[in-house]
Amino acid sequence: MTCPDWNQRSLYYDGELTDQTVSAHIEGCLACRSELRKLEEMEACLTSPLSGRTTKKSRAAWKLVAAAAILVGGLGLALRPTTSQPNVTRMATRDGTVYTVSTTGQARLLSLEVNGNLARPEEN
Amino acid sequence: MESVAQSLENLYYEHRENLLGFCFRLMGDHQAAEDVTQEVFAAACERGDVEAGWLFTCARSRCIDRLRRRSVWQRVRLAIQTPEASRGFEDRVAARDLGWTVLRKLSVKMRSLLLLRAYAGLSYEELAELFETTPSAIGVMLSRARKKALKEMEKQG
Repeated sequence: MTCPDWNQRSLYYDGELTDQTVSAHIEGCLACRSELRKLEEMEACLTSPLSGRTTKKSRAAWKLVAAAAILVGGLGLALRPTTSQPNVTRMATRDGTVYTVSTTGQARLLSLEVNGNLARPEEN
Repeated sequence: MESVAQSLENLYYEHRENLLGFCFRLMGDHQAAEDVTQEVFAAACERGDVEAGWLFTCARSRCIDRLRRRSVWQRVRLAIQTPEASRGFEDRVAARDLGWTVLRKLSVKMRSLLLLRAYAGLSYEELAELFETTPSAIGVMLSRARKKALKEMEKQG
């Protein structure tokens, strides 16, 4: 049997090849296996970590993302014209910082807390 | 039971680097990749319960939007530049990344298809839905993209 084309090799690589004869050929053929190794190496290169990245930076960034998202979420709740019961959204991060946003049903922010401390006092 | 906030944070630590790599290798721009990664996680926080696949498909559409908005000149420059001729720090960083060096020769569609499969492991059915085609057409597109990427990689030595 002649070696299968790229389409079949690619399907085999993804576990999508249904033709058992071709699969058996690929498994027993040195040339096909060598092509598949190249494919593996290429995909590993496409998903390799970018150089010069640190997880420390990520942790700081997560706090920013979480804080930004909760503020946006909090404003979204504040702008929702529903009940006058306060809505509370809370998000905890791994280092123990807890962001809490409280709003009323009306269009205003009631309070924003960081670690339980009021960042903006309630206005009456 | 794990809270939504905790599960989002875990998702962030688990996938941030991958998402950054995905965005960078789709756009070839570190700053834009950082921005999209942040935007995607912020969107995930607003949405609540999301899975890893969602992060990558959301990133893909945001990256494609940015690529479309790029000026014509920028697109021309990216298309014609060689590693030696690249200008500026960002360009030099991009030129050193083998993944981007290989992928920049592919169309955005092929690039995003290869990256979604490689990073997010989306199935042919999921990819077919996203690319508005059939699973068998995805198989053909993937094999063409891989063949071309391999050829480019061999050129790089």
